[in-house]
This record gives sequence, structure tokens and C-alpha cells, in this order.
Amino acid sequence: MTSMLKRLRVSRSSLRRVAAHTSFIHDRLLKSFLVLSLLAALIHGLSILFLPHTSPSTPSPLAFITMFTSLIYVIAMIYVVSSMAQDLRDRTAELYLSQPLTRIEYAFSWLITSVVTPSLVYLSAVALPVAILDPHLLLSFGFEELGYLVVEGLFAGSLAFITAVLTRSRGLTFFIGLFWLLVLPFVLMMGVAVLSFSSMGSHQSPAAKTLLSVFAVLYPYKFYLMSASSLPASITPFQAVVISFSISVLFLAASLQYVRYRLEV
Amino acid sequence: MLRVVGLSLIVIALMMFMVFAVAHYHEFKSTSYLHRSADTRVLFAGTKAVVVSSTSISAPVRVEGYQYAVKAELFPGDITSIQGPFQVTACNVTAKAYLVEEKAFNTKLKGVIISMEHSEEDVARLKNLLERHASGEAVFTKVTYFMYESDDLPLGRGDYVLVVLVEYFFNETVTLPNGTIVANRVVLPNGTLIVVNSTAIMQPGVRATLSPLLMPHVEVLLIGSLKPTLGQVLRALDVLVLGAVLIAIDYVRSRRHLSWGFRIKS
Repeated sequence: MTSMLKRLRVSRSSLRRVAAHTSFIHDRLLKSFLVLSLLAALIHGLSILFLPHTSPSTPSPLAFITMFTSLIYVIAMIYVVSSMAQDLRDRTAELYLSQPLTRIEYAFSWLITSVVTPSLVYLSAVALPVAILDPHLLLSFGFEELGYLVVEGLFAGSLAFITAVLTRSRGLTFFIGLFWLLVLPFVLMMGVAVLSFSSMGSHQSPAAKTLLSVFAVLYPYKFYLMSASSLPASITPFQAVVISFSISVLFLAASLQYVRYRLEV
Repeated sequence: MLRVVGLSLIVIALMMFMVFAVAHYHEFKSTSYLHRSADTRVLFAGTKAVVVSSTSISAPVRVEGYQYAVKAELFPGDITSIQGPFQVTACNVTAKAYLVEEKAFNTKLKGVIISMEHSEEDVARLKNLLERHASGEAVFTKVTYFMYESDDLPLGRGDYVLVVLVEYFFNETVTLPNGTIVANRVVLPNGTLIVVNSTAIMQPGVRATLSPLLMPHVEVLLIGSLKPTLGQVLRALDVLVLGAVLIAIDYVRSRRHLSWGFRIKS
């Protein structure tokens, strides 16, 4: 009983330390979050004025806008993670870790700042303008695609996070993140197109199907939007999002384990 | 984190205030094309051809503060010089759009349109019925060489049918490919437009190779214009206040500790 109380006290003080450090990082990166919020709110606020009002025929009227604004969201996430890599590289982290802040607490607070906060800021910038305009729209539009979007963002964040922890290089973290965001989807889709064309069928070749499934796992949100035009793949958008989420969790768990046992500052 | 979320809420609320302020002074119009299949009938009455096109308009998803209207764009086709077996040298087009409630259209007008004969009397009867049952009507005006546009027709609740009546007044002179001017009239007494096809030149009663060209293309547009309501402004104010409260909480909380280092050590 005494040991349990002691453990609870330890975990409570650990949470307080994480909260304090998270708050500190937020203060440091306040400007970046404000830019994210400003851009997302501006684009969504203006674009909902021009929503098509014939939404029974349009499954997700916001999808066309979020497809573009999600780029800002993911870039913000990568930027925050790369700031952690910079901390580790220039040994600023040593300063924080010289306080009674464990490595796992340090990494965990960065994880909250890089994944949770951008998601929260972005989701509020999507949903609140709609809610202000007409709360009923929130129910009638359906925000299923936002779930897919957050999982895709989580994948980007976890990939950048593990890169930052392993390499401690801000440049490489940014490069991997941007490569995943801007280059890889086109490379994969070109691969699918080439394989489909070479097999003289429309996406019917097994290799094209496999590549499309890889695309679906890496980019569940984009795949979800594309599946409206019924692209044949080996997996459904829901399966893709579950696998993507599992891989992201695996990446994050591996990063935290690495930080706990192997990270040297 | 509270400060970041609070500031985001304030930014979002201010952005919506800005949008409402702009919408208050300058009317925003969001336009979307309604892709509905249109039923079309082509009739030849006297010296003119009449095309009746009816398009169903489902009730739009109503958003608070928006007012809705429909308008039509008419592309009558290049009928001033129809190339092929013969030429019609000139043609005047007049068109009118009628907005009719779907129920009234189905009970009072649909049957009439289907059973109409090629006669001026039937066309006049249809016009009369349309004027009696339409909740709004608008004349088309020529915008470009190829396009005519109607005025906005305010949309009430429920489903509607937009009926577009296009009248083509043909020039009575028809020129054959060899340059011969052949007729004062190109319409038979029963109202059928005589058309000369490539194999049978001027055989009376050979009918309507012209008619496919008289299929005007009608695009129906739904227009939503925003006038901000008090509810919308109050909701934006709610979000603004919520953001301010979150920042205040964060401020009060952080005042209790001087620095993050102090907090971690405590």
C-alpha cells in the first residue's frame, strides 16, 4: 500500500514536470502555433462562405479545402519536431535534463507539443468556423475525413519524431518530413500508374495493387479522398487507417524506448 | 498549452468577425451549378420553334444567414448560321424562366407539356398556365454572343422545377448550299418546320433534321448570399470570450510559479 502511494506520488510529480516543460516549449514555439492557427483560420473562415449548398451530392464539402490546409498542419508538426532535434544537437537539452527532468519526461513533453497541440489547433481551426456559421452543419457534414487526416498527421509526426531522436539532425528531420509530405506521394502514384500501364489494365496488376496499398497505409487521408473515385486496392480506407495508426504508435513507442535507454546528451 | 489554444480561439473568432464585417458591407455570393437532368420538348408553332426545358431543383441545405436564389444560363446554340444541307440566315431568340413548385408542376403543368401539339394555341396555353402557377419568373438577357442569362429567382423552402421557355423566331429566308434562296417560309401549315436534307432537297414534309440543333443547353445555378445573423455574431463572441478565459487561466496559473525551472524543482 505504501509503495503504491509512493508510486502514485512519483507519477504525479512526473506529470507535473511534464506539464511544466510542455508549457515552457509552448511558450518558445508560440509564434509558430499562432502562424498555424492564423493561416488555417483564415483559409477555412473564408472558404466556408463559398461552401456548396447542395451537399447531399457532395460527401464532404470541406475535403477540398482541408486537402490543402493539411499541408500547413503537417509542416507545423515537422517544424516542432525538428526544433527538438535542434535541442538535442546543440546540447540545449542538457540544460533541461540537468534539472530533475528524466529523458522520458523530456521526450514525452516534446511529443505532446509536436503532435497533440498542432492537431488541436488545426482541428479547432476547421470545426469552429463551421460551428460559428451554423452548428447544424457540424452534424450534417460529417467529419469522418478529419479522423483520417489526424491519423495521417500522426504518421508524419511519428516519422519525424523517430528521425529526430535517432539522428538529432534538424535538417534531416525536416528533409524526411517534407519528402514524405511532398515527394513520396507523387512517386508512389507514378509507380502505380506505370505498373498499371505496363500491365495494360487499369490498376488491376497485383504489383500496382500492392503499391496502392502501401500508399494507403502511408497516406490514409489522401487514400480516403481518392477512394471516392473507387480506386481498386487490396485494403479498404478503414483498414489502411488502422494499420497507419498502429505503425505510428509503434514508431512513437520505439522512439520513447530509445530515448529512455539509449539516448545520450 | 492553454495559452496556445486560447490564442487560437481568439484568432478564429476575430477571423469570423472579419468575415461577417465584410459580408455585411459586401454581399458574398456562393454559386454552385446544379447538375440535374432536364426534360426537353421541341415544338414547331407557326414561324417559330419553341423549346420547353424543365429542370428539378431539390431544396438546398440551408445554412443560417444565407438567402437562396436560382438563375439559369441559356446557351441556345449557334442558330444564326446552321451549316449543312441548308442555311438559316438569321434567327431571333427570346426566352423566359419560370420557377414553379414541384407539386404544382406535377399536377398542373407536366401533363400539358407532354401532350402539347405543334400549334401556337398550345404554346399560348402553356404560357398562360406558367404565368398563373409560377412563384417567380425572369426574362433572359443576352450576355455574350453564345449565352443568355436570367435574373435571380428567389427560392423558398421545398422542391421546385425551373421551366425555361425558349422561342426561336426564324428568318423566313432560307438559302440552299448552292446559293439559291428557296422560300418565303420554311414552316408547313401544320407547324412542322421543313428541313432539306442532303438527299432530298426541298421535299415538303421531310422533317426536322434541324431539331437536334434546337436543343438549347440550360445550366441552372444555385446562389447563396450571406447576411450575418445575430446568432452567428454571438457564437463568434462566445469563442472569443472562451479564448480570453483560457489565456487568463494560464496567466493566473503561471503567476504562481516564477519560472519553469522553479516549477520543476518544486
